[in-house]
Amino acid sequence: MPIRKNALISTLLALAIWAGCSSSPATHTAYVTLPGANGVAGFRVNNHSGHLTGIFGSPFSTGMSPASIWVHPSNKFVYVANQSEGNISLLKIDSSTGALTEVMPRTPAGITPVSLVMDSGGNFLFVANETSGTISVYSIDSSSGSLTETSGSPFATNPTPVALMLTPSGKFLYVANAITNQPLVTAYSVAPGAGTLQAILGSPFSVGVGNGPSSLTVDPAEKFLFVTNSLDNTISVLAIDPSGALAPIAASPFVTGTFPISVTVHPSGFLYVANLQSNNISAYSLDPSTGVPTQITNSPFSASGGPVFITVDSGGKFLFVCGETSRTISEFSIDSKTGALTSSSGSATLGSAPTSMFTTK
Amino acid sequence: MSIPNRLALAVPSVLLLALLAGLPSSAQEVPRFQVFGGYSRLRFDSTTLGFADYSNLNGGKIGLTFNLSPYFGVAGEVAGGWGSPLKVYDGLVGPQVSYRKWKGTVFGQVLFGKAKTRVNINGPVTSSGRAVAFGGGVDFPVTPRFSVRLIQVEYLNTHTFQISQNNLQLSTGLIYQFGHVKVHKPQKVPSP
Repeated sequence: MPIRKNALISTLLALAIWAGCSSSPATHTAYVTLPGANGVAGFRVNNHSGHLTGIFGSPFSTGMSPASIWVHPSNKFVYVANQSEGNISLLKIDSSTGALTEVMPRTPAGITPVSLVMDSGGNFLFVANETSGTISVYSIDSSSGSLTETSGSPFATNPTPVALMLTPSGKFLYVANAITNQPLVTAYSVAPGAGTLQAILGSPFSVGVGNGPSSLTVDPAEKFLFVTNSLDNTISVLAIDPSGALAPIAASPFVTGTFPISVTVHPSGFLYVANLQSNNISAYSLDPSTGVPTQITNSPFSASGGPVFITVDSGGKFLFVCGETSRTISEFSIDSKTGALTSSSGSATLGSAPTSMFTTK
Repeated sequence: MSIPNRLALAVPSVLLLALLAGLPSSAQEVPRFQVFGGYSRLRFDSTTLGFADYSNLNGGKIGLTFNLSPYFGVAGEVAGGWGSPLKVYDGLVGPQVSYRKWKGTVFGQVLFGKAKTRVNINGPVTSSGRAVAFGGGVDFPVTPRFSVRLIQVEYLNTHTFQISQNNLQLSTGLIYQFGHVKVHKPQKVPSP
């Protein structure tokens, strides 16, 4: 009997200690647009492993054909560009469950809004309207998340704006214009506190921009703009001068895989390009002074399933790849020293083809 | 889990168990039936549903134990925990072993059954699945008919929404007991 008594007490003691010591894993969230489902899929991302756990109730309803997504830095609001409806959905985030609830009515935008960016302070939202050839700018109410179009918006830009990039400082906004046989990057300075766009002298910039510009990113030091040229299978590197004007660097453009469609930069200076048709990810290390990308060892890395969008996780440890044909989110761990990618088992299955993804901090 | 919650769970359990472990022994009468009812707190593993943290659900538990002998019995329990946006129910049955010393009883049990989880996010959704629990508790009599369950601690594994959840359930409450388990004592042989 003493043995049984001790066993029972030990078990209870162990459970009590477990109750006292165990804690939930540190996580953050990620949201993915699913145009075919007219919704947004939500995931909880494990900070340590990068593994994705579906948020209950996902996907969450939006307008028709959501194409682009951005999460407010307060982690309270999600904004989605509804491509087919020509408007913006505002969704509130439940901080406990991660679930999204849309706040009606939707905010009108131009025709075919396809790309969103926000400044780091969460004060302004910029929207590229592909068919109407305009940029809509909205101020954001930090308490309700509601959008108010700023004075002068929408701003006329060159035809077919398909991608936006706001520099980390919020000073310059770059627009990829995928005009057939006349690809451009249009550049604007952003008025502090007002969000007003002013074309930069010399804009639009065509020299050094290849066919089918599809995606843009900027290095952390804001010295170089990178443009994927999906029809040329290259990436252009354009130096940014203090006024925001662009000029191609020597040897630009650089070879990628087939149909580069999405580009992102790692805080440590690695550049990743999703090649839709060659089903792989090109990885480069960047020369911080010249901007020259050099493919790292073993690049490109296989990413089957039609990689259509890539993003570096907010902690910089993982790269997430949205698969258009596989309808999955694939996870790669990033070697912080070399930038090399290692495929992980933490992929997630989606019910519909994804187009964009945003991970919160 | 917040530090106050951890302390609320851990400190009383550890102190109580440490106290009971050192109680002196004494003979006691063993009831045939024990009906339990009381408060329960479930720490539900809602991270498996994409929540940011575990969910602490307040609720209740009722149970019946049929003692076959002073040491062995069969226990059945039904419990529920309620919160927003979660509700969790479980119904379990299984063997129980008891150790009676002085006036107190320490018991352990392994129970099997079903659990039902209801989540209300943009509309209610319910899922049912298997459940298993193991753990134990400490009872202390206050009258011949009533005892107090000082604490019951159980690991509860549920499988709902096609995912396994590792949960912890703490309970406390009152026990109404009746009947007697016959204890066969060796007969003394009269000395010639």
